[in-house]
Amino acid sequence: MESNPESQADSNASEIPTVAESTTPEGPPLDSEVLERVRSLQKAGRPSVLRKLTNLYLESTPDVVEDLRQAVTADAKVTQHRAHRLKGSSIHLGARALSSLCKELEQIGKSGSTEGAESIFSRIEIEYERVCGALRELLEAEPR
Amino acid sequence: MTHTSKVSPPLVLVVDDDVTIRFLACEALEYAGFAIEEAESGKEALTAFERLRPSIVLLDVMMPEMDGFETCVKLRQLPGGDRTPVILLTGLDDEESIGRAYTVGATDFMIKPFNEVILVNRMRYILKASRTLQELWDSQARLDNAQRIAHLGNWEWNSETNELSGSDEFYRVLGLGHRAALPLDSFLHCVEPDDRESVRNAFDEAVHGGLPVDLRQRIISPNGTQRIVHLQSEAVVEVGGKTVNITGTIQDISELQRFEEKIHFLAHYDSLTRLPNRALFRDRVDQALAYAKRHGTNVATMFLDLDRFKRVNETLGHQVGDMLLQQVAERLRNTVRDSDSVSRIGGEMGTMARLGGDEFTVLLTGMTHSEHAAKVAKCILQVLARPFHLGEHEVTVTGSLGIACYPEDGKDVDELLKHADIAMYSAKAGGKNAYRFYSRTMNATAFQNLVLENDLRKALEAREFVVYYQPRVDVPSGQIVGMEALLRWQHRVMGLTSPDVFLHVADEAGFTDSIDEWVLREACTQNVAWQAEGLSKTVVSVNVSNSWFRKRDLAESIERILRETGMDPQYLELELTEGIIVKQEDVAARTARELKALGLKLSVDDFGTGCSSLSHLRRFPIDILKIDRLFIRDLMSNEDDAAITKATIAMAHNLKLRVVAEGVETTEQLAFLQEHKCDEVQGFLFSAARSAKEMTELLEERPSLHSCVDAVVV
Repeated sequence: MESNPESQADSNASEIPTVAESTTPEGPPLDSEVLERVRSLQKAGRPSVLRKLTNLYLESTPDVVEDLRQAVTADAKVTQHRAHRLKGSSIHLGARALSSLCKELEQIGKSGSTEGAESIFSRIEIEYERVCGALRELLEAEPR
Repeated sequence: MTHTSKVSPPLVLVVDDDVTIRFLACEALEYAGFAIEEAESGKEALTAFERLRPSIVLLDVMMPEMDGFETCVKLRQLPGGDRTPVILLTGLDDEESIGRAYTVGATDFMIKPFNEVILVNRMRYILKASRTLQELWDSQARLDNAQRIAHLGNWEWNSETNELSGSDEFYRVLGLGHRAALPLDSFLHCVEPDDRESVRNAFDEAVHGGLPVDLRQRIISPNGTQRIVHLQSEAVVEVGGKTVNITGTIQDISELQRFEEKIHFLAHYDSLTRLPNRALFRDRVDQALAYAKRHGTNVATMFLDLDRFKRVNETLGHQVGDMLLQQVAERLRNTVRDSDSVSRIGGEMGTMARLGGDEFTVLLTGMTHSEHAAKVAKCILQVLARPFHLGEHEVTVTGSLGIACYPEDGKDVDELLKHADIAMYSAKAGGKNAYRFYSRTMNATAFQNLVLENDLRKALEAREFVVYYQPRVDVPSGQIVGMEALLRWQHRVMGLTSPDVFLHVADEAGFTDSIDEWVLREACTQNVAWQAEGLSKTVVSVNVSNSWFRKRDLAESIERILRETGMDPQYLELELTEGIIVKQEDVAARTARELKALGLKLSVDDFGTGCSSLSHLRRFPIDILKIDRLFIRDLMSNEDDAAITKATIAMAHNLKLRVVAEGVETTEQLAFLQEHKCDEVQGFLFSAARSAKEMTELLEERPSLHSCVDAVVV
């Protein structure tokens, strides 16, 4: 009845290579392959899935970023949770660089300190703006 | 089974605090045909689960407040929560969470970020596995239920451990509360000690010879209840002949056995006396005859009938009658058993049976002389003669016994029983409380009378009697003013039979009183019904037999019948015979006065045939004289008859009695009677006796004697 968790984990890992190292901010903020996969869920005649997802992201994440800003200097636990949340939301839109940065911040929070958190958060802010910009451009182009 | 199943798509509960991930998962699953519900926290997930009972739950681990692990644990405790697959969503790098997922009871986990295609396929796979498991559970539940209903358990014996283990019902049948492997010895311990050896042998044969087991045996529960079980098994034998294990069933057939015994009892025994019934008795006689034929020995069959049993039933009621039959059976049992043990040297064997009613039979085998049968018969009559205590009543009855012996008196059951029956009737005719051996000289007509008597006994209960009515017509007005109630017997072989054929037998057997009573009751009931229907108010006359008339409580019985039927006594006339008036004049006159006091009418029937005189008549408070048909028949040809008739009419009028002429068949007779002022006529000229239904029609027509005569004349 149980599937083999390890082999599943492996296949997942190979299909969606997550980036453990910090990426250069110069690369494209969104992975087009991931976006294509989201588009593949689209049913004819229905509202755009990608548009809805993008909107959800743009609506729900500013609060998360704001929470992070408050926490990075003060609360390791909140930092960990909020970074995890932003990481999760971002990766499903193909924002690999942002997701990686979040992961770094999450690890710091998990270790129980906020040391070095602020500098990573400032990089996160920059990358987050890039991602949001790219998403807004996407919305312009995406059919209603 | 696919997700496009027409029934309804499987419902997935998606639990994640991240709206984007929820959205994505929902889109992917919806796209694949699943139905979706969302929850954004653990708490919400639990409420939604209880409400929606989803087929599967996709649950994020990292959530504020109640995380995925805690949610999973709580969800498992909800109704149905233990059987629903739960998939935990964990981060790829979070090995700790993956490990924990299984300990909190998750079915599986998935890594975030998830690939939508993999997510959908994983969900489908898990749902399919879950459904298979559910079917297995359902099937198991059905099997358990079926086993419980059938009281049938299955079990398996393991050769390596020498233990039995089985289904719930297996343990229940054995009366064991716990489910645990049972060493063979412990199992044998459940078996009734007497049966243990055979069960052990059966197991040995199954183990060593690979033979099937098929046993009915008794088992004793720890609480002491005994049950009958049916044990069946098959051995699983390896190549080389070694028995690896034995699989089998055990079924509690206690109830079935009880039913079988009950059915057997009902089919072969009389439930009132618990003696064998006719069928079993015949079987026993057949067996005895087969044995006697081979060994050249004798068999005796006896037929016993209680004298006057019907009277006990009538006077004390059926319950007391039943008690009497039970006690008679008990005495018979003891007697035949005693004579059996006394004469054990002679090898006598006795079987008793109740054939029905108060008829009993006895079979004696292994006798050397017919004197043995006579001895048993004497014993039976002796023990019967002792008084019976039936509740508060003490009753004495006697019996009449007939004996027929093989080979002299018959070669088969039917012949022997028939001849024992004839011998019994002969004993009865000879004065009762006696036994007789069958003899060929017992003649046929006597036997027929006895058969008739036997039929008569049953006729009342079988409602074979009917009452016919013959109208009486007033001569001056020509109108029906009365009718005579006449008994008929609708015999199943002889057809509608008049009392001439059977009344003497009934009289001898002492049935006339009860027949008279029945006719009176019937006639009153019918008269009341006719009056209620508004048909003309006519008198009904009923014959009273001499034997009934002599009963001390006659007036009481009649009063009771009048009361019970609601009959107005002024419409009832009792017909007495001339003989009554002649014999025991004083007593008869007193009874007649008692009857008159009830307000009814009395008539003297068949007048002229007896030796009554004017002086006799004066002493009787009678109202009507009925001239016997014998005088009327020859009225026109015999001057004596004409003279007697004339004189009788004149004399009766002198005594202020009405006169009825019976058997009037011709208009000449009518004219003669009319001329001499006879008051009423009865006879074929106007109408034969009619059934109640035909009489009703006649009353509705209101025919007149005159029109009837005119019709005849024309």
